[in-house]
Amino acid sequence: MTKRSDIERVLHVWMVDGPAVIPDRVVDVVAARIAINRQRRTWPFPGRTTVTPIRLMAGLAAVLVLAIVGFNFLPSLSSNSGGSPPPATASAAPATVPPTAAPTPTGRPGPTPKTITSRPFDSAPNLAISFDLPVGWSEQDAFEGPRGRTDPDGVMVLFLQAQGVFSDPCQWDVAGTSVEDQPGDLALGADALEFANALHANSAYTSTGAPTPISLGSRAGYAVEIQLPADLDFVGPTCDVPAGDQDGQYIVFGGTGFFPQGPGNRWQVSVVDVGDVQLAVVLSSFAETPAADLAAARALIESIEITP
Amino acid sequence: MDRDLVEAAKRGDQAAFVDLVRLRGGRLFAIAHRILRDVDRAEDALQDALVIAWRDLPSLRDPDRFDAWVHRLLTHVCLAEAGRERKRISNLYVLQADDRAAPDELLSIADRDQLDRGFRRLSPDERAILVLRHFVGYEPTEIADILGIPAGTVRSRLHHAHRAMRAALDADSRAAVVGGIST
Repeated sequence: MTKRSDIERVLHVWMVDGPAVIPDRVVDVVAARIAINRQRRTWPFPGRTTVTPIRLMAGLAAVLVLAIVGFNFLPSLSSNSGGSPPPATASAAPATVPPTAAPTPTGRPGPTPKTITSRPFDSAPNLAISFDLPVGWSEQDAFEGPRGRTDPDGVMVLFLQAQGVFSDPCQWDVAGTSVEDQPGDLALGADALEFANALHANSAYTSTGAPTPISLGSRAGYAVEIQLPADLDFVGPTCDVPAGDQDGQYIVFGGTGFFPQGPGNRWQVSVVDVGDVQLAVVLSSFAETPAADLAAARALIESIEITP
Repeated sequence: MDRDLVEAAKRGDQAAFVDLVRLRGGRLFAIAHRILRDVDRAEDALQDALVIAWRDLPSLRDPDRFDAWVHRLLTHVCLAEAGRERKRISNLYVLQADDRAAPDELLSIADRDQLDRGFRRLSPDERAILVLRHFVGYEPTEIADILGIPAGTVRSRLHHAHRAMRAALDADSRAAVVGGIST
């Protein structure tokens, strides 16, 4: 097993290999292209950064629009009398693009909820999770609300495999093995209730109550809510720093390793058994996360369909 | 001398910019290739990034920040390229004599192949973060500035990428669940 302290050295050595000389053809192409591409000149006023021609024209267009609207409201000088509404003017803002039926490959948030099908686990390629992504949410490596995922008011939903609970999330891998093998760790089997009970029982963080039965994707499971500490340096050097490493991480349960998104992170963990897989759906939020964003996250989870 | 070239290029001196490209291009090409793992795509990305750099160079206030500034441009171009064709089959880069690293007992050919496979399974962001950290040598806070994401997120993704690469090297099937999220 490669220890954590070795991997950084391995990666450094591995990355040394490869091209390190720019091909002449690239230089030639760049020279030809810059000969026909103008530089963006900076605005000659102090304190101003580059103003592109497009931005300048947009600004002038906005001024022109305001002038036209203002003129039409002038009394008795225009052909319209009695304060009739001015003719519609073209807005400087681009028209809203109507939603398309097909999901966009880059996952950009669209104006209406879109259905996404995710196959999050390489070890279980047949496990598919379909759900409705709320309006304003974005899809990257997880699904996050309009304010992002981090403190103080972010929200995120993600899918993980429930694999083992570390007894001390801040000192979970001092031996560099990346698995639950230290005293107090719980290496779990395929049982959602056992996993939920383990989270509830761990005193390293606060559980708001015993696991409660839930239905997720038409499957019976359990949910437990945990409150992570508010005073811990989750990504700094104080948490689980084996010799030779530079930073530590706070990890509650193993497998893929989900990190807190900030102090006081609150996780609502719903776990169901899907064949041999313990699927954990985590709703990550904070005390200041707006109620609307929380509601959208819950709606996402309630729309989940699991195949098989 | 590099600062003089940057300042001349800022003023529109194309020859100065081309000289700068020759001086810095090797490093930039190396970064693009490490992220994209494909010579052709790295060349395309580098060309685009350098043209953007030429176009926007007047906005660079501090010539001494040229390297970091162009690294940011290049990284974003590479990420856009990586996002476009993630499933494209990459051409192989055959090590040339001058590219071959000194013999290192740390990595066998099989190890390098495993690392390649593990790297290709990472997200574009994670690949860029690994390259910026272990090839260029940026600290997480500098990487956060380049990518426009929180430093905590950089550390999280860096840690996940380390775990994934370690798993690829160890052929640990349990730790190789890269479909889950480490953010």
